Amino acid sequence: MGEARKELIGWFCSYTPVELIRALGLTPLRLLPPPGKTPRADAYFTGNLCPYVKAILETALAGEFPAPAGILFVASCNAMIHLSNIWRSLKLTPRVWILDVPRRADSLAVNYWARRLKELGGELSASFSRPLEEEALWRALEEESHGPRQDGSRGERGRERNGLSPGRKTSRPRLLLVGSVLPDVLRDMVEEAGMSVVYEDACNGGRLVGERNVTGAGERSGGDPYLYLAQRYLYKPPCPRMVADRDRRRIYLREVVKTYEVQGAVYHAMKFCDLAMVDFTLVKDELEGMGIPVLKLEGDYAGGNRGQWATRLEALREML
Amino acid sequence: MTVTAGLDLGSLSTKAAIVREGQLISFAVLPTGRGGAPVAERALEEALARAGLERSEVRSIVATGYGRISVPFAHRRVTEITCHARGVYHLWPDTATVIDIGGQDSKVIRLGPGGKVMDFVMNEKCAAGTGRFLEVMARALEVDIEEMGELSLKARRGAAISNTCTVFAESEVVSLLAEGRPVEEIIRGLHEAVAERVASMAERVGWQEPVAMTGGVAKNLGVVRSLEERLATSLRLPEEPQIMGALGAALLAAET
Ligand code: SF4
Repeated sequence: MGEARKELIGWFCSYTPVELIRALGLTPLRLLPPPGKTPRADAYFTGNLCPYVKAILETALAGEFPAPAGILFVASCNAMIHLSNIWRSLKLTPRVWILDVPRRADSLAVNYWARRLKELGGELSASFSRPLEEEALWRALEEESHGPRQDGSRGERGRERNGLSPGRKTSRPRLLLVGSVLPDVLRDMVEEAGMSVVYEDACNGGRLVGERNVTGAGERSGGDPYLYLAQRYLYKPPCPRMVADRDRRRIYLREVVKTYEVQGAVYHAMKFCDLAMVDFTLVKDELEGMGIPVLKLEGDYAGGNRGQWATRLEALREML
Repeated sequence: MTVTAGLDLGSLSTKAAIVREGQLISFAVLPTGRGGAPVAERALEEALARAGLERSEVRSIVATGYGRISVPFAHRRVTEITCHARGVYHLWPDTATVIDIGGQDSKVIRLGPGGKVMDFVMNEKCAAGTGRFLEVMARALEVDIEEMGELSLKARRGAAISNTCTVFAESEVVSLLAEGRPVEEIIRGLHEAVAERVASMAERVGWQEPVAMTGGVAKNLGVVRSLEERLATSLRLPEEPQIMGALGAALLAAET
């Protein structure tokens, strides 16, 4: 058991129920690939596919991820589904699961997903021949409710930020960044252009760390941990993929703007991400309605054209 | 008597504008070449000489354009977005939209009250919809870039250019030539392709009338007509569209 405890389960999407993994005594590990070119992965995908997904495959093909015992994919978007299929056929890890997640949050979705989560728990438990105790799941839920998400790896290069403080004092224009996985260079360039990042609505930012503020989640007493788990994730800050949950996304954005006293926003659209294209129009509409200008920057996982970005960011600062 | 200067370091040309008491009194346009401070310096000296002024009489200098960081003697750097908006606002304060097509960038700016920039979009990485695109095509067609506008106005229709990528469009142009399509029609097709590209940017910022056009490409009447047709509006054209960024920079220098 001691040996087995060290077993890692890799994940990519902020909708991954890491508590299930933890309840089995396994270690969830978010795999964030380093930025760079993706010559090997390019051979498996069409040219106009998400550069983040390509970077993941590239890193896996190069054997640069710590070898996990399995990957828990989430069917978050088409690119991720393609990746899971390729992953499975190339047998990049001994085990592969893919979890469907509803694109909305209501009681029907919660009930459906709770059942699906229980099934997944069963699959994981059978795969590692160890029981999944409800008590252990409750414990994992509790542990995950406090502090930054525990990824269980020091090798992980994600920057799950906890430093997003509403009161962050700054005389510079206060900026909201929106995107999927935000490239590090963008944060630096925003600061170089004389503005401050006060909140990141990203799947390595607020949409991940914010999920513990569950509203409407059931009580533990006498409750079903799978229902609670489903509520916890479906009611977390909604990501662009929650296309049937757009009203909640608008409310969430309005709250972020008020709480963090946001003055301007930058939308980093990962190239070819169709979800971002659709989400951008919502974000722009909502924020501009509040008098907040939104700058769209298109880029890939590593960033974009520095010179062009710098001009656009400076122009945004001049507008503010 | 306050004299200020604006320098606009573009990819193809470097512009200087001198403003006295809020009015443009002289300007100079030089090819950027290898660019940087020496060209900016020369443009400034030339514009000053035309106005009969000494360098010491200039109170403040603002640099803009993609080379704005390479002018050590500028007192301030402002992006070309704000500068073009300011320049156009000076000419026509009620302008709602500015379309600027320069050598390497094209942009559409939406103006609010007081000439404030409300929103803008710029072309993404590639050269489609910029002056550079036309420059490459002029070379492929062996015509002078300055003649393109007039030539295209002679064509009754434009050849369809399906590629927006400069490299592919260039080979498309070569094949059209080989097919015997008249040069005028090809040029008109190219202008339509540029107009289409820029019009979609205009849609993205929610453009409104009146619209002004700035940048070197505004001198090309062929592009202007195609764009007017595309947007179904008439464009306001400054006498010297190329220096609007420099003018805006000089005006901003006076405000500091
Ligand atoms: S950035 Fe878009 S396409 Fe890429 S993984 Fe995220 S949702 Fe999918």
